[in-house]
Amino acid sequence: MFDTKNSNLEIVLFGYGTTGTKIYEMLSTNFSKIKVVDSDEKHIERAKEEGIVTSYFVDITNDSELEELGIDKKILFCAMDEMSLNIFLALSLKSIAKESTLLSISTSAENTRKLKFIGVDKVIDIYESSANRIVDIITRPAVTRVMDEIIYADNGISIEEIEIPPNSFLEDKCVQDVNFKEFGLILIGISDKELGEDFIFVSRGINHKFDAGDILVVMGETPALEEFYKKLTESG
Amino acid sequence: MKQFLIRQIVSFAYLLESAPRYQRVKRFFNDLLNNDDYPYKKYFDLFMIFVIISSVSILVIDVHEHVSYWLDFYDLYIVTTIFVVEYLLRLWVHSDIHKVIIAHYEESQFFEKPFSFKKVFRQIAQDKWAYISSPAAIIDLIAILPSYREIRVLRVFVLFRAFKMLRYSRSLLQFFDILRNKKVELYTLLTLLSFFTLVASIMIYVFEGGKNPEIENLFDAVYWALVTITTVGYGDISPITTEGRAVAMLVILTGIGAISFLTSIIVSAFSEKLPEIKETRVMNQIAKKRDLNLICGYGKIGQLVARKLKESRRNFLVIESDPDKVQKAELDGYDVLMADATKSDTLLRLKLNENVRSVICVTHNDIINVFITINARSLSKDVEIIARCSDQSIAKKLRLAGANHVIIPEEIAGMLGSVYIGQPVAFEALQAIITQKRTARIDEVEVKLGSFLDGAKVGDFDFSANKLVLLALLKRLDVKDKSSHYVIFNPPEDTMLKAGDILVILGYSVSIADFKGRLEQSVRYKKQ
Repeated sequence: MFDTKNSNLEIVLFGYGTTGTKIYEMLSTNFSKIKVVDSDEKHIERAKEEGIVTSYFVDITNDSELEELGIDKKILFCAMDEMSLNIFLALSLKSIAKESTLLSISTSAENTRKLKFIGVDKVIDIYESSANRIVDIITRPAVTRVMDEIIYADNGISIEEIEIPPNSFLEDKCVQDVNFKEFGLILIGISDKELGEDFIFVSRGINHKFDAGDILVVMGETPALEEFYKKLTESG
Repeated sequence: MKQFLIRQIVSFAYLLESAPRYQRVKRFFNDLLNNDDYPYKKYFDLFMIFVIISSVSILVIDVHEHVSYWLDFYDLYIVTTIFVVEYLLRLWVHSDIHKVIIAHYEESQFFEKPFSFKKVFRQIAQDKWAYISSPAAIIDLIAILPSYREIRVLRVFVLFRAFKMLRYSRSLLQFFDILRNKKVELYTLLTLLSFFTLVASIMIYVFEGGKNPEIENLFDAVYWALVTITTVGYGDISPITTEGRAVAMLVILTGIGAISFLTSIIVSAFSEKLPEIKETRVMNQIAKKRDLNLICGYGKIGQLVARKLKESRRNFLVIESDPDKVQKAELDGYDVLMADATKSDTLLRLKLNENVRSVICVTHNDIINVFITINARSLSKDVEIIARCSDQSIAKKLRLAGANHVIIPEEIAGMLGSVYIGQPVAFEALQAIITQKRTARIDEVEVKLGSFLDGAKVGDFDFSANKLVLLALLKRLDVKDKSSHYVIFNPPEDTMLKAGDILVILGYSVSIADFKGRLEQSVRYKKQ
């Protein structure tokens, strides 16, 4: 939204079965360039019927067929219904497309361990995340409610990450010098590339100095976020 | 004369029926003696156990040493009086005499028949006899007997005072309940054993009656047969003739068979009743707990939810109908009830309206989840229902059936994936906050009545100086309804805070704990 990153991201979704279909629905609301790949012809036929033009029937156990898809430097999402196939696929993709970001679903702690061992960047355990949600609803209803409003509900409130461009008005300023409340925003934390990927929460109280390249994680309404982003890029 | 007597008795019966005080007193004693749910029954039971133990101890000590006068007095008069009074009270509350009289009187009036004393007395006697002839009442009566010191044999019945304790202990009663289910088998075995004992004793008496100096009469023979058949074999009497020894061998073989039969009956009775015993135990434990979360279904999600709820120390109960999964839950160390959550009976037994906070439907079958939801919602308006399903069309039905939250696992996974792809840094941050893996977390704090935030403005408290970030404020829509809130993100400084509002804050555990502590303290000071 604030840079053209999202619309440029190319995603390859492997699997269009029960799980894959749901995941496609979710992804398609945020991203436009999604390729759907499945080794089951029926799934691909259904995808074509549903209007997904970029859907391909590929034997996923065949490395050369996978390479033909052009999967390098893209986001690869493994969501095959069969878990053993999913793990095998993740392993193949890891060996072929080293530069890509690899995501995979998992159905148990056992599989999560295997996928992480392979080197998958993000493993999402379907059941674990559901269980987390159920427990959150029970133990922290207000927090869950707020998180829902941010992540799920379409009410204009969102958490965004914004990269500080060079020569912006934030340059050489410290966290406490900038009143984010004036912009109608809440600064949650900063990820400083110089200090490694570690995420610094504002609430830790460190008076961090902003540099170009730092990633700010801010929460707020969409217009406020847009205005802040505009100001940030204009001043640069 | 008879007419006058009838009128007097009947009018007295009506008087009792309409006297609230009499009814109240009777109900009180009935509760005290028989109602397990009555809170004071526990104290009465403890008192009776004390009386019994003290009385048994006195009688046992008295065998060899002379107990002091006042202890003897206590045992002879006070204990006996308590027992007699208890016995009479139980007899009294067992049935209502006046109701029988009234019923008969009204019947005779209706049919214009003469009022029959005989019938009434028979009915009353029958009712009371039902109590007197019950095993518990017989034990009670026999337990009173040792007070009559003149007959020494009666002292043996002191043991019955110990038996009396059974009445006050539920687990012991359960043991007899279990054996009662095997009544037929036990009777058969007993008959068989008595028959064999009789035959064996007659045989040994016939063979050795004159020859063996130890066997003088039939009683000796029966004693020998019983000692042998039960495989006890004291050896004080042993057969000396070949015929006698042959009988002994037969008796020994029969005895081993009979004893193993007896053991197997008892063991099988217990194993049959084991699920029931477990269930009672679980129900007893659960009955004490408030804010119970019911996890219906112990599949993948159910197991994870159970583990996480245990970690955050919430009360929960797993309900599962598949024996294998029930066993798994037991092995994992959770309270589990083997029952069908789609049946209203199951939920009612758990006191859905009083003790249950939420019902979590996470069976692998969508239709069953819908059923459980309908079942729970039809029984309780307030209980929170969280249901899992695999499809939006089912989700719609679940919401219609009354589910507060619907979980579609694949959609959650997709949502997480799409957030991660778009904003990996924000995602990791959120993930860290939500899963509470790092020290920073999001927590909720309720504005308590009378605390320093009650009536203050958001700007009055410097959150950032306390290393906290105020993310949102939840205000109550309806004063009465505790669960209806609307969310204000990033609330402006001049927003008023009221008791019942919930602040959602981000911070490190230490800062949050400190903030909560200060809020609590300010409430205490205001009260003083």
